[in-house]
Formats: sequence, structure tokens, C-alpha cells
Amino acid sequence: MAWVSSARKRSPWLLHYETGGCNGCAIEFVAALTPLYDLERFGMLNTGNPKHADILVVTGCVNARSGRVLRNLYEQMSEPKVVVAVGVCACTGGIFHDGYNLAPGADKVVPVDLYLPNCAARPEAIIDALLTAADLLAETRRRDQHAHQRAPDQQG
Amino acid sequence: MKRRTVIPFGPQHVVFPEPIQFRLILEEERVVDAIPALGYMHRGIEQLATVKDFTKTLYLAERICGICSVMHTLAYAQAIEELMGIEVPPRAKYLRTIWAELGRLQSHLLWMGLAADAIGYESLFMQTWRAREVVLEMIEFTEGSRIMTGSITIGGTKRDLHAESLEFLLHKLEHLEQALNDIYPVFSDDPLIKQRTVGVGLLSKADAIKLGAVGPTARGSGIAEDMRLLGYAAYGELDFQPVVETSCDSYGRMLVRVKECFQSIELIRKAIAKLPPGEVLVKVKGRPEGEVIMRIEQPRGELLYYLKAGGDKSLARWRIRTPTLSNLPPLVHMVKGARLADVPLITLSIDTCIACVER
Amino acid sequence: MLTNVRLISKDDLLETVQELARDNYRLLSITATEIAGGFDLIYHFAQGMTMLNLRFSIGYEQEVPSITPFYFCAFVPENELKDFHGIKIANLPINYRQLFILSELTPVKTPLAPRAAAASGTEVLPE
Ligand code: SF4
Repeated sequence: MAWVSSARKRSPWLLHYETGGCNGCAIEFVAALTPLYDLERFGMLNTGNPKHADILVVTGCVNARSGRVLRNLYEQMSEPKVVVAVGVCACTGGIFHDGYNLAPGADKVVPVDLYLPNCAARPEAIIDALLTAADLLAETRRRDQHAHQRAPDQQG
Repeated sequence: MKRRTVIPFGPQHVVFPEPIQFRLILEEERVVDAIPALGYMHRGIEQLATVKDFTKTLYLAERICGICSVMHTLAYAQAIEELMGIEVPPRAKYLRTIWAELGRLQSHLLWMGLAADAIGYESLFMQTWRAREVVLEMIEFTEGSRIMTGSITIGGTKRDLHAESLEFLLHKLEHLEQALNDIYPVFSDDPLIKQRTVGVGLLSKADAIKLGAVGPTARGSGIAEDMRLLGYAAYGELDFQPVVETSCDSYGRMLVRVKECFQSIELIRKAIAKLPPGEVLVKVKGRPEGEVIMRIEQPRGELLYYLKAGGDKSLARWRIRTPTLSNLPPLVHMVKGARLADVPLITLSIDTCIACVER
Repeated sequence: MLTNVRLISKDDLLETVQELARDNYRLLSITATEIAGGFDLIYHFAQGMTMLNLRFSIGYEQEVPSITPFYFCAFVPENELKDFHGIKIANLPINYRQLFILSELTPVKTPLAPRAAAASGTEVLPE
């Protein structure tokens, strides 16, 4: 079903969650959706529902309370899924790294596939990251399908 | 007694880019009580400031909030300057004013877009954010970056504006004004927007004072209070009056913000016309000592800093009271009695900035 | 600079605040700073552009009365005092029990009062 996979690659849906930080990156993510940058021309759509989403965009540093929410959102997304950490906060904790309330990086809570370190990631960079994520998504799909097809005889 | 239901609203919700939760207690469709649950964005900045060098805390101040980053650095720099007795060159003061107003413009446009989105007016959302990109272009051209600019520093500014930058600013301001002229009648007259905002989220003047509302939330309820009148930076030399609406509802608060955009454009033009020549940065030596209170007007209202320094390399105490924090009690008051469907819009109408609230 | 400071004692607090409420002062915020043996509290009020600060200090174990009867909005800063400093507030109507901004999972209690935390044996911040 190659056409399904290629069609999906062209329309990944996004779920955005701001875990902390200063929301500079969150605003830039929204800016990337609007007319000047227009992420939607790549078929990407921002959705509020984790069950519809393929790519999880994490911005900001993960703190004690939002880590649980992030974990929940991640678990509710259906396979295959890709997680993109946008901004240095989401990658390592950034300037708040030494704070008492933080996990240093989103990868302590959910598996992160792509890192975009930047303090206030630019919309261009976000678009680049999301396109890479879409490729990755198509690839994981293919890998998963292979694994799925091979699974029965491995069992046997 | 009617049956009561509790609905958690948030933390992840399409209307806000940021997480906040309200536990809404409902009787049928009406909200009878709302309990805010915070803490999804807390980073502990006040504690970090007590271990970091006070010059580095400037960058921490910038990262309290990505939307009013310029204003936070402005307030912090002014507070430290007051403690150390530094006199900032007049040109730097004007530059600070210009950048602060650009920051206000982009913040208000951002809010107008989000409000249009919450109403369900997708095309208006896109339209305002397109106008916002014009402002961001100006910010990037004059400050070097879109969000975290680092342009204001202790003792002045890091950059200077040359004749061509000023030319560029004036040219772009004209573009922006045109775009705003197109958007303004939609916000003020469109029946769809009026239906969703007029009479929604009432906050009387007396309540606004009692509950401590600040900024556009207070000005939308007829309180003519604007910290820019204190005359910090160059505001004392630019003649202006605060924008006040008396309808006391979401519509009034929205109009205040839309009109303030025009006011900001005027202020920037005046500042450019009056821009004095000279240096923009003075050398800073020594360490701060003493106590100071700094109040400035952010896009969302009055910001209050209390700084205490004991001559050490880091501050002894840095208290940050952001505008949204003092607008929370009015919000809880407004949500009571509202319909569930209006809650997102009422929440937006105070222009919540959760990153600021939780620091 | 910090101007317009009125030094009061803890017992005069409610009375003074009541007067200010009658004169239509707005409550801006409450600030606490840890000092040797206790806390230094400043209540910031404003009427238009002019500020008025009430100041007093308390010991670690002392309780401060809530000013919510006169300023309902004080529940926000008072809950913050509880969270960050562990100050005891009497008669707080909306009490988050130290979970206003901090969460159960936060590794430290009262992060802005490290000396108090050290004395009571809870985990302290690493230097
Ligand atoms: S990376 Fe920078 S801009 Fe992004 S959330 Fe963190 S502090 Fe804000």
C-alpha cells in the first residue's frame, strides 16, 4: 500500500504542546502556520486532538507538572508517531536548566526523534524540522509495516 | 438543587498556545464557579536569579515571556540602573521607547488573531497575523532577531538605529497602518464579533478596582490607568492619553487593544521625529545595592518588579508580579455566570500570558 | 527607589488594610524576603500612580492574617507566599495547600526560603 504511505507523508497532522519555557517558541510555531510561512501548503494541519495527530511538537522546558500531561498526550497518539523538540528549552532545558522544577529536556519524558535547538526557533527552522519529521514518519511507517509483515514467520 | 458537573478546561486546548487549567463547576450550561489550576509552566526564575550573576539575569528576564521580552528587559535594566545610579543617554531612552512600542504592537496583533480564532473567524485570524509579520519584520530589521532580541541592556541599548533603519521603520509603519485600517472596522462593527463579545464577561468599574484589574482589562472598564504616564524611558516627552472604553465587557477590552495599536504607531512616529543624537550606551561598573520598585506598562498591563540587592554578584530577591497574575481574580469573577461556550473567549479577553504568571 | 514605606506591626495589618480599602487603594502584590530568623513582608498598594508600601517582619513560626476580607484578590499572592516561602496564612478562603504553582512532584519545598527548608530538614537546593 505504497500510495497510502506517500499520501500520509503529504498530510501529517500536528499536535502542539507547550510544556513550559517562555512561549516564544510556541508563538513562532503558530506564526509558521500563518500566511507568510504557511505550513498548510505542505498539507500539515494543527489539531487539538492527540488521536488525530502524527507529529507531536514540544516547545518549552518540561516541568514537574506538565511532564505528566506530555506523557499522556504522547501515549494517546496512534502509532507511528514522531516527536519534535522545538527550542533549546525542549532539547536541554536551556537557560532554565538549573531550575528546581525542571526535567532537563523533553527526552527525559518522551522519546524525542528530532531536536531543533534555537532560542526562539525561527519559523523557517520549524518548517524545516517538520518536513524532516514528515520524511521520518514515512520511513517509520515503512519500517513498521515490514516488521509487521515479518512478524508472523518470526513467531513460527 | 440542580445537578452540578465539573469540567476540566485545559491544560491542552486549541484556543491557547499555552497550558492553563480551569476546573469549571457547571449547572447545566452556566458556570457557577471556576478554580484556576496553575503550575504547568513554572520554571523558578525568582530562585534562579538568586544564584545567577545579575548581568546574566537580564537574559533570564527576557525569557520570562516570549511575547513581552523587550519590556521585561526594559524593566529589569531600569531597575538595576536606578539601584546603581546610572544615567542612560537620551538617545537610548528613545530607542527603548520605539522597541517597547513595537513589542506592544506585535503583542496586541497576536492577541487580536487569537481572539478571532476563538470566535471562529479563521480568515480574520490569518489577516491579523499577516499584519503582525510586518511588525516582526521591523523588529528583526532594527533589533536583529524576531523574539529574543537582547537589544536593551543595562546602561543603554546594544544597537543604534541609522538613518536608513528609521526610513525603513516609517515606510513599514505606513503599510501597517493601512492593514490596521482594514482590520479595525471588522473588529468594531462585524455582527459576528459583536454577538460573541458584547455583554460577555462583564466587569464593572468598582469590581475592577476591588479585584485589582490592570492594563487593557482595567481600561476596558473605564479606569484611565496607564503606567506609561509615569514617564519612564521617553514616554514623559511624548504626549499621549490612555485609551479608555466604558462598556466593561469583552468588546470594550478588545476595542482598547485595537485602538492602542494606532496609538503605538503614533508614539513610534513621534519618537522617531524627536530622536536625539548621541551615544547609546554608558559603561557600567560596580554592583547594585539597595531596594527598588519598578512599574512599567506591558501590553497586558502593569508589571511590578521588586529588587533587593546587597552588593553581591547576584540579587538577594527579585519579585516579579506580572499583569496576568493580577488579572486572574477578575477573570474568575467574569467566568462565573457565563455560558460554557463563552469561557474560552472570556479567558482570552484578559489576554492571558501563562508564562508570565508562573515564571 | 523604594519610597512611601509605612512601617507597621503585624497586629495593625488588618486595620490598616481596611482603611486603605475604604480609600479605594488597589492591592498590587505582596512580597516576602527571607531574612535572618524570619521573613520581611511588604504589601504593595497603589492609588493611581502613587504607591504605598506596608512593611513588617515576622518570625518563621508566626502566622499572618489573610487580607482577603478586604481584598479578595489577595488570595493569589497569599497562596504564593505559602508556596514559595512556607509562610502560614490564617483564614485563607481559597487554599491550595502549597500546590498553587508548585506541584507534588517538585523536588524542593519552599524554594525561596532555603534557610527555613534547611532548618526543617527538607531537601535543599543544590548550590
Ligand atoms: S527556547 Fe528560548 S524562546 Fe523557546 S521557549 Fe525556551 S526560552 Fe523561550
